[in-house]
This record gives sequence, C-alpha cells and structure tokens, in this order.
Amino acid sequence: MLELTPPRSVECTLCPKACRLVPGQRGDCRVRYNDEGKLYSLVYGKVCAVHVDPVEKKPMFHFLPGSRAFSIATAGCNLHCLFCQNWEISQTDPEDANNTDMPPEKVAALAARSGCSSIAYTYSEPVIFYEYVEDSASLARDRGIRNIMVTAGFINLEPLRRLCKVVDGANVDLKGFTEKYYREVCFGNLRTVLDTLVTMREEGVIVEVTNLIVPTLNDDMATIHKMCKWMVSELGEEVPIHFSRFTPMYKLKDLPPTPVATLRRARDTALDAGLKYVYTGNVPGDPGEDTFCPSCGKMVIDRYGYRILKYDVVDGKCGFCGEAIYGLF
Amino acid sequence: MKRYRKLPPAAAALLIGLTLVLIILTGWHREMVSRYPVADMPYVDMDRIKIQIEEGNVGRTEALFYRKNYAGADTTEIR
Repeated sequence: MLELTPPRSVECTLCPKACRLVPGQRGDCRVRYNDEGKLYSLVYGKVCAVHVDPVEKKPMFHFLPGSRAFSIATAGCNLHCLFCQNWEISQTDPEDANNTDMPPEKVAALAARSGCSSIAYTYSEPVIFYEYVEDSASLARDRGIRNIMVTAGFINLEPLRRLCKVVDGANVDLKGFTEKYYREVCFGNLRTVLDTLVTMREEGVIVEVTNLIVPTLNDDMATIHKMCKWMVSELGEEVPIHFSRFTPMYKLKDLPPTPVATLRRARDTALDAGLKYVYTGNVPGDPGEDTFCPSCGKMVIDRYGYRILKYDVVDGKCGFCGEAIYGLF
Repeated sequence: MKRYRKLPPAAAALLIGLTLVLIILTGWHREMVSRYPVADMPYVDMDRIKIQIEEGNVGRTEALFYRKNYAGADTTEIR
C-alpha cells in the first residue's frame, strides 16, 4: 500500500479536530505537540491564571451557592471564538505565557488551605489540559473538594466519559444553536457540544449552560427559543441557563455590548420554552440574577453580582413550599 | 477625437499604493473571519521548547489520548 504519511506522525484523539501531526508540529490547541512520534502536553502543572473566585462567577448558581472555587487555567484552547473574553491566555502559545509551576498535589493543597469547596478548571479551556484536570480532580476528591469544569464542551466522547468520573459540576458554553455560527465564529461544531451536554447529564454531572449573546450574530429569538426547547427535551427543564452579556473583545471590537433588553427578552423566551431556571449574566443588579422556586414562584436566592443577599434553600428544597431545587446545596 | 491627458506619475503611484493597502486590508479581514485554524498548525521551535522545559516554564507530559502512526502502521494504539 502506498504510504503517504510521514513516519512517527500521530493523531490526537482528544477533540473532534483530530489534529494529525508530524514530528515537531503542534495541534490547533497550541499545547500538544509531536516529539518524535509521541504526543506531549506542554501545560501539565503549568498554570497561567490562579484565583479564588465565588462559584457564582463561573457562573454556577446551583452548585454550593456562596462557596469559593479555587480557579486555575493554562494557556491554549481548541476553539478560537472571535469574541473570546480571555483571549490573552487562550489564544497564546504556552511558552509565551507567564506560567507558574503548580503540580496537582499543590492545586489540591492550596484549594484546601484557601477554604475552597471546589476547584474550577476555567478561564481558558480545561479540555486541552485534560491530564492535569484529571489528576488534580482525583487528588481534590480525596480531600473532599469538588471539581467544576467551565468548558466549551468540544471534546470526544471517550475522554469526556472518563473525565466525568472525577468532575462534579460543569458550566458548558452553548455559544449558539446553528452549525454556521459554530463554524464561522468559533471554529468548532455544534453537534459535538450538544453530545457533550447530553453525555454529562447521563454521567450525573450537575450541568449549567451559558449562552453569550452577541449582538447581530446570535441574538435571534427564534433560534434561542429552538435552543431552549432542545434543552427541555434533551437535558431536562431543570437545567439552568445563563444568558450572558457580550463585551466588545478580541476580534469583535466593532460590535456594541449586548443591550440589557435583549438579555431580558432571551430570558422571557427561555421561560416561555419551559426552562425553570433562567438567568441574565454580567448585569449586576438585574432581577434575572435571582433564583425563583419553580413551584411557588417565590425568590429563594437573592443575588447582587456574585454576592448572595438572601438565601431560602433548605436541604436542597424551597424554604417556602418544599419543592426540590436543582443542583448541589 | 477626444484626447486624454496622461496620469501624473505621483497620482499613479498613489493609486497603486491605495489599491495595495485595500488588498492587504481585505486579506486580513478575510483571514480573520474565514480561516480554519486546523489548516495552519504551526511547527514547534524545538530548541526553544527544550530551553523552556529546562527552565520550567512549560511542562512535558505524554498525552493520554492519541493514536501513534495514525495512517495504519501496525503499532497503532490509543493510549
């Protein structure tokens, strides 16, 4: 058989991009490279961002509300969204980032020492620092610390199922609901992300969804309604969705910030489609930040930005009528 | 028959220059919105990476999910 492939080439099977790399070449994510026929990660234990954040910042509104999440990121990403809000670290080579050495043992120890209930793998894309997430998450579990992924969900099913064994919660970006949008604005595909969401639910991960609304690109209410209907039928009506406000950034500086009225319209659309927990994001003080009981309609969590002002959830149930509230409390 | 005046060299140069600028700008724009990055995977500067690994700015751990010799050699495996 005619063999056109150079020797010692590899195919990365972590995400659907399936980068085929000859020796010396790195993947689309910038952090995996082929050295003489072996694929290496360049970012294992090398964080470029570390913060202690309120878990609400992820945003995770139904995962230990009011707790703190030890948040880490490495350089790189397997998507290249034109609106990326963290492009300084996600769209850079790891050797150009200002990295700190933080092996998994240290991640778990620092999270415990700083009083965090969870570790959030966030800011860039945890899929591309897969091995690091898995090892850190396992060690954190041993210390009773939970694990959260804030991800675009662009990953193959086999590695995803394995990761779900150590991940407790996930906020998945559902960036739009058309293949065209994913292809042209994010350089990925929608089908994979939908599969990821369904798989995470099957594996028992507490899932929340974020949809960043970018003016003129994905603010069509009919599409948003279709997306919410899909969520109701495939994920369940209790899965929360956050409609986040876009700020001009990276390669979309020519667009205006999302009008608050658009976010509120999207929220109404989602409620109309049957979703129970619908939030607006990046608009501190908006009534869309609060959690309402889907049964009695009373406010059970009153928020201002990332702060909780009032909390009426008792043992995971509404403090007024006893209805179960989705999530981990 | 109508006679046309010859375009002055300075005006011609300016016209050519503006056209080039326009082409470059358009090209950048096209690249910005339509380039599929997978087609543009860069090579690693191995010497630089080795130095960075020695200095500890980047790591070097074998990946969990990949296929060796993907084109069908008998050593194909998924780690």
